[in-house]
Order: sequence, then C-alpha cells, then structure tokens
Amino acid sequence: MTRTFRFAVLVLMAFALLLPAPTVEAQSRPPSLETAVSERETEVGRPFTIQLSAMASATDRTPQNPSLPLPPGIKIRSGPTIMPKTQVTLHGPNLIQQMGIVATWTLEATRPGQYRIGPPTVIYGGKLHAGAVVDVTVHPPGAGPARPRSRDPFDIFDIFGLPKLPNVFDDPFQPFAEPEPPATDPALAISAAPAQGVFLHAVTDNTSVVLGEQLTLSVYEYYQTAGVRKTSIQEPSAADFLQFPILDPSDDPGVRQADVGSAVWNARLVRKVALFPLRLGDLTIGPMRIGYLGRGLRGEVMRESKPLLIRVQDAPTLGRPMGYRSGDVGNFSMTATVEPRDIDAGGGISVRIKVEGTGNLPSSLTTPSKKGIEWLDPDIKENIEAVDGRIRGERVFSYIVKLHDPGTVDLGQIELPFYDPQRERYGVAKARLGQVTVRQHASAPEIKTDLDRFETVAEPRTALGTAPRISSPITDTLWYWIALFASPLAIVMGGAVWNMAGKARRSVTKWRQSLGRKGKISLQEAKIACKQERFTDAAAEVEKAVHAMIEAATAIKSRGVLRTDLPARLTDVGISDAAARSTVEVLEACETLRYDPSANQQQAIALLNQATELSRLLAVRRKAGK
Amino acid sequence: MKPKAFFPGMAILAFCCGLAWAEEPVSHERLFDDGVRALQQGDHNRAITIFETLADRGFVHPDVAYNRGMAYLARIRAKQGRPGDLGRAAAGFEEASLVRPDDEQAIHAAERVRAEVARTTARSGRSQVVVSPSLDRILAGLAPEAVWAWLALVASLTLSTGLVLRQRKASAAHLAGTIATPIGLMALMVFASLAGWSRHIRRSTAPAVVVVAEARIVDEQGTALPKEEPIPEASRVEVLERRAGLSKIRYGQREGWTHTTSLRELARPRAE
Repeated sequence: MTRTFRFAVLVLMAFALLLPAPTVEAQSRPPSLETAVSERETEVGRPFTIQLSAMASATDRTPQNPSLPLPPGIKIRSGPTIMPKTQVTLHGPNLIQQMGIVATWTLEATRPGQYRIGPPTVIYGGKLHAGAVVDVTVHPPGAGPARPRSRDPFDIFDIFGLPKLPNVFDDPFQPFAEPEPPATDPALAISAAPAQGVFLHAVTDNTSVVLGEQLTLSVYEYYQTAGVRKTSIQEPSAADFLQFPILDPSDDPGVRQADVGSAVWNARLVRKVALFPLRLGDLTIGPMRIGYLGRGLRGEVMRESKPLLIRVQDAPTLGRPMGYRSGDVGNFSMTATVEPRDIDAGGGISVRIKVEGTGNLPSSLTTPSKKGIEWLDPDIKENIEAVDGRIRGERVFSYIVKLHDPGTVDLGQIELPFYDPQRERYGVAKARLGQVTVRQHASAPEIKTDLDRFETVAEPRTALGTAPRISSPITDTLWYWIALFASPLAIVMGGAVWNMAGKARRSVTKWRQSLGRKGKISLQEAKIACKQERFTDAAAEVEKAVHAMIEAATAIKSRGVLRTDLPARLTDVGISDAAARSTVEVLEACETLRYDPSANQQQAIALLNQATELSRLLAVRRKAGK
Repeated sequence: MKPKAFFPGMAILAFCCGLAWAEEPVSHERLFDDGVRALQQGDHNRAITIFETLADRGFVHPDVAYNRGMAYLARIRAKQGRPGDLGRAAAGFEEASLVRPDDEQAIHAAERVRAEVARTTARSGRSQVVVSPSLDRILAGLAPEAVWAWLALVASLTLSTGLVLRQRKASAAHLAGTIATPIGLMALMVFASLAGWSRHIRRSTAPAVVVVAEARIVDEQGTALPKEEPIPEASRVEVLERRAGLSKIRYGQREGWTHTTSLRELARPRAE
C-alpha cells in the first residue's frame, strides 16, 4: 500500500513537472513579431506600406505603442493604423490563443536611394521589443518597377504574362457585384454622433502627463456625405502648452471609416499636434471650431470639438538627480566637441554641444563654471521634427568660452538630468569636455577689473552653524488664549456669583423672618397639637397664626385692635367682608376653644380648616398688596 | 556548513551585499561641504545646483540659504549672471534672516542686493517703486509676535489683579485696583489684538521674493494689467492665495495676482 502510494505520488510529480506553466511562461515570453513590406523596390512619391504584427500569449494584455523610426528621406503618409488581432492555433493537444495588434504605416520616399527602415517596435510588459529592419530601394520618379497586377488564376494569358485579350463573353450589362462594406477603424468608433451631418471629435493620447511630457492632440472631422465645405476655421487654444504640428494642415491623410452608433461615418484627421505642458495643474485644451456649408446642412453651421482637460504633475521626487529642472522630460543623449585645445590666455575656444533624442529638448544647459573661464551666451540651432507621432530631433548649443588664466584647464563635464516617462525613471546625459592648454600671452591686454559692488558682503560660510531652535509660537496653543482671557473673566464672574450668593442669603433670612411664614409655622404647630389632642395649645397656635397672617397681609397689628373694630379695619384695607367676618369668627372660636375643657377633636379640626381657608384668602390679599 | 543551512545563509549574505552595494543618499552635511568647495573653486553653477538640491530636499538652514544667495551672487560677480539671479540671491539672504533673525550678514547682503537692483533700475531709466506698508503691517511689525503675546499676558495679569483689588473697600488697595483695572483692560485689548493679528498674518500668508526682473500684475485669468506698475526684482512680498499657476500677493498696500514662477517662496523652519 505504502509502496503503491509512493509510486503514484512520484508519477504525479513527474507529470506535473512535464506540464508547462502556461501563465508564468506566457507572462514572461516576448511577443512574436513579424515585419512585412508591400514593396522592396519603389519610386519617389509612390506610397508603400510596412506592417508589423505583434502577437502575445498573455490574453490579459496586448503589445502597445507601435513605433517606426524612419531615416531621412522617408516620411509617413498615414498611420500607424492599429488593428487588434486574435489568433487561435492548435499545438499538439493544446489550443493556444494569442492576442496582439497589426500596425500598418503607409510611407513615401522623398528622394531616391537605399534605405534601411526600422526596426518597428512595440512595448509589451514594460519592455521595448523590436521587429526586423526592412531594406527598400527607392528609384527616381517614373523609374521604379511596375506594380504587380493581381493575377487571375483562371486566366491562362495572365499566367504566362501575355497581354490580356478582351473577353468577349463578358456581359457589359451585368450589374457589378455588391462591394464588401468598408472596414471601420475601431479606434475611431464613437457611441453617438453629437451633431447631424458633420461634427468634430478631439482626443489626446494621454490625459495625465508629467510637466514637459509630450501628449498628442488629434482632431477628427466626421461626416456622412461628401459635398460639405469649410467656411471658417478656429484653431484649438492651448496657451499652456508648447506646440509642434505633426500633421501639416495642408496635408490630407486620407479618409477612414468609423462606427458612430450603428452607422458608418467617414472620419478625416484634420489636426494632429504634439503638445508639451508648460506648467503644473489641470490645463485645458480649448475646442476647435469649423464652420460648414453644404449638402445636408441647414445653411452655414458651426461645429466645435469638446474642450479637453489634462492633468499635469511634476516628475516624481524619488530618485530625482541633482540639478534636474522640471520640464526636462524625454530621452536624451549628448555629445560635445571642443576646439582648439591649445590657445593663448584671454582667447576663446568653441564648445559645441549636441543634445538629441525624443521629447522636450531643453532650451538651455547648465555649463560648468570655474575661475578664469567665461562662457558666453550660446548660439542655438535645432532640427526638430515629428517622427512617427513623437517629437524628436537635436538642438546644438555653440558656445564661445573665454579662458583667462594660463595653464592646463579642465573644462569639466556638462550634465543634463532628464526624466523618461516611457521607462518611468530618471537619466543623466553627460558629455566630458576635457582639458585645454592655455598659454601665457606676452602681449595679453591687462584685464580691466570693474568695481565690485558686493565687496562688503561677507564670505560664504564654510561650516554649518547651529540652527536656531524654533519652538512653536505660544499663540498657536489653545492654553495661551484660555489663560489670557480666563483669569480676568474668572474674577469678574466670581465677583458676580459672590454678590448673587449674598443677595440670596439675605432673601432667605428675610423669608425666614416673615409673618406669613410665621403664620404657616403656627398652623403646622396647631395641626400637631390637634393630633396630640392638646386642643388648647392648638387653639392658641391658630390664634397666633391668624394674627401673623393679618399683619402680613394688611400690616394691621390685630392683637391691639378691639374685636368689634376689626372687621371695619380689615374692610378698610381691602379685605372682603366675608373674609373679615371669617377672621373675627376664627379668633372668637380660638378663644372659646382655649377655655373650653370639653373641647373635642372635631371642633379643633373645624377650627383648623377654617383657619387654613382664611390663610389662603389673606395670602391672596398679601400677594395682591405686593 | 550543513546543506540545509547553506542556501538560506547564502541568501542572507547576498541580501546584505545588495544592501551594502545600494547607493546611500548623500547627507546634507556632505552636500553642504561639496557646495562650499564648488564656491571656493569658482564653480558657482555647481554650487547653485547643490544648494538648490538641499532646498529641494526640505533642508532649511540659515547657512545653506546664505550660501545659496552667495552662489547666485558669485555668478553675478563673474559676469555670468542670468535674469533673476539678483532676486534669487536676495531670496537666499532673506530666508537666512527669516530663520535666524539676528543674522546681520544676511540682512546686510539682502540690502546690498536691493541697492544693486535699485541702481540698475535707475540706470535703465525706469521709475523707482516706493512702497509703504499698510498700517496693520506697520503696527504688527513693530515687535515680534511673541512680544505681543507676552505683553498681552502681562496685561491680563494686571487686569485680574486690579479686579481683585477693587473688591477691597475704602482702602489704598481699592484705589490701586480702580486704576489698574481700566489700564489692564485697554492693554489687554490692544496687545491681544496685535498678537492675534500677527498670528493671522503668519498663518495666512507666506513670505516670498520676486525672482524675475519685474513681476507683472495680472488679473485672475492671467491677463496682464498694463496699468499696474510691476514689482521690481528682489522685492519681498506676501503670498495670500495660490490658484493654477497664479499667486495672489500683497506688496505694501497693493494686492494683485502674478505668475507663481515670478516668485520664490521662502522656506520656514518647522517648529520642534
């Protein structure tokens, strides 16, 4: 059992090792590239095509950015036209699916000669992959070989290259076979037409770039029927960009077909411009406006493309070399020539620095400076052109450098740090200038020294001193502002609280000593006495309460008033007759109860209720009096 | 070594070698020394590159800023000055005096640069620009923010003491409190306002120096306003607002927009 199991495991492992690891291999395998040319021999002005087929095994990504370097004398007439391609092949027992693109360039030679074109390249998996170089012979106009005719395999005359005889069996009235619908360019497809008859559509190849990186603006004119002419043209505004036209407005790159919704429209490229952003931020490319007049349009109509928003960021700070200037973006190389290498002091040498490459060529260079070396302003010449949609070329800086001090002078080297957005990394183009021998000139004129207006400025500092300690400003702390205003506010509020407390204390004291309160306390005492069956005491307390309440309500000291006069006194001060009578009755009842040994609880409770009712009446009067 | 431990050991060794091989970032001190050496050798372009690199790295130090100003000045003295070098030199000196306010050499150097700008302006026949700061800036600038802050605290203490003493009845202390209270109150209002306003200016504005021959005043869309007098090189301004390549600045009593590239903002050291 164990031996059988081990054997099975070993067989399975061996089988697994033999199986290919399709995903990893597919990811790492380079794409298969095939380069084809329509004609090896052509003539000046006759278009020919170069086609690059790039197929990759990975199905999640396809080769991108096809590019074709061209020698001088060959120019692009149109393209590249990029068509997606999917291929499925049977390889042994496996089905292999490949995805890729077919890029086609239509070229044209401007002068005769032998040319090596290419190699065409694509980017796949972050790497550049190149196809084959194509050799083409270009003859003078009219001297090129005749174009091969398409041969009819059933035409025996054609097979042997004999002149074709007229076919007497052809029916001249037979209708033409229905032509196949034209192939549309998927890159130009639009979901819906924004206007009828004709409209403009502007696109850029990128919407987020770094400062100085090229983006290409293309404006297409879509139309359904011919016979429409332009009446006015307003170019798209791009004030925040440096512009290089890729397509000459007078050139006609040809018409392509594009799907617009469910219909097929004609699309013509009317503008193609390389733009280099000059500043950071969200920059806008304004619309292009063209006025049209013609068939299918209601009079003169104005069509405009949509404005485009481009986000421009600075190149990454990580890995940025010293001396990098924002905007130096591309891929550059640098060469320098210095002559002569042997001069007299005070004389000048010529330093010619050529910067070439793709991208935003720098407009100035940082020259090495040393004592006794004076770099004069350079003469700049440039040769910049659009090649395969990318701006590339060279800029030559010609300096006159004056050398004042005799001896062997090392001119140092010139450096140009740049950022390459294609490879997403920095590079530095360098050119060593070498040494120059400067001889002492016997009759060299004495250098006239000018007045130094900065001689009173101190010398540079040779060591880093102690940096002053910067503490956070005191006003940035919340506690400072609390402390600033809290102490006086606390004192003011404390004084106010103290005054209020004193007032409250006095009010309490006054309330405690008030007659009304005394009356209430006596009534409470009377109730207690009543419960304890001390009816005499209860009557005495009720009498005391009534006198206190009368005094509190009317300020009449009723103890010193004759019982018979009391009602009149009370009514004089606004007490109702009923209340006045009730007062006298309560007082008389108290007197009776105090001296009645047979007094019972019922009488006492009745007296208490009567006194309580009286206290309510007198309390109303007291409040009204206040 | 056992075979099991061999491969991990080699991997660790390779990793350590890789770490040692990796390029170490150059320290600020070493870059500063390189810059000083370049200045002494007369290679002012290299010196400028080095001191600008230190600034780009966010290393704020008065001696670095001073030497950066000196590097630009050296290029001017070598008659290889470029447009804006005087302004960039002034920016270096201003930054040095901003970080170290008692740096007399930096203050003097900035004054010399401005005098040279004024001389150049006068020789070219252009009118001199006379700047008078606004009253709030004059008052707030009479003393540092910290001085106003501490004076406000003293005033608060005076007011509090006066309020306490006023509680005493019919005594010399009551009289002292009666006098101290309004004085403390007024002083608190004045000094707290100045401290608060100084704080507001510090937090809402950024000091900057004009680094072009003339900073043109434009409107919010960036269109030049020809009637507005341009701001001369090396002038110190306050940046109030930034918007898509434009900066709103205050120069004396004037406020307006200019291109951000015309200015160099001065780095301020971070508080500990």
